[in-house]
Amino acid sequence: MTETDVFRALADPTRRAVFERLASGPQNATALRDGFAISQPAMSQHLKALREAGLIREARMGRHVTYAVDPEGLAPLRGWLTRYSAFWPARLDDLKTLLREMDQ
Amino acid sequence: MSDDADAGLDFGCELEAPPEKVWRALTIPAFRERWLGASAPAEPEVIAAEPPHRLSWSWREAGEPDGTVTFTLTPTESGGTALRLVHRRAAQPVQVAANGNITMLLAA
Repeated sequence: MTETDVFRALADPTRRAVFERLASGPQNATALRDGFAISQPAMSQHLKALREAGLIREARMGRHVTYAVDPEGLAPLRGWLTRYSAFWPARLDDLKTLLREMDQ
Repeated sequence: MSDDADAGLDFGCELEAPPEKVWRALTIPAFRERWLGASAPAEPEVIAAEPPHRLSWSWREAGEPDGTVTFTLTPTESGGTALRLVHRRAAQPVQVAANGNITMLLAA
């Protein structure tokens, strides 16, 4: 999975909300749909997109399917977050320095 | 943090200079280079400007989705600027200024 796939999957607000819900604990499809005003097919599509991006996993027990966050799913984002979490504060410090040196 | 926290980074800081001066530091290339540095991983391109309140750049970096960096400048009571910087990892729709002022050519 690339960072782009992960990001695309999370760019949709409903999918992000579904992912956040699962981040608080595994749920089956019925429980997951509670609280989301979307149809069952729409929910299935969101779950499929999240699964294909490697963000969630499903476990099937007979007719019952449980969805859970895949702990490795966000790994591609971590590099980006780490990099820019350091980059921007350093740049903003340089901006402060520049502002002191600039003429009005 | 907003509910977009997983999609980007959000920084805030207070600057001693007024928004007009901060705006010049952000937009005039010779100034920008002095704080953003020649080693910046992407060459920013202005996609929205509402001086001196709001500035958005596209942030294209090899191997990454096209992102955006948005600065919001708010004057403080002490004559400084509250700066907020939001870096989104993908080109989510950029809010267009209410007056329709999407882009502005910048004086060098």
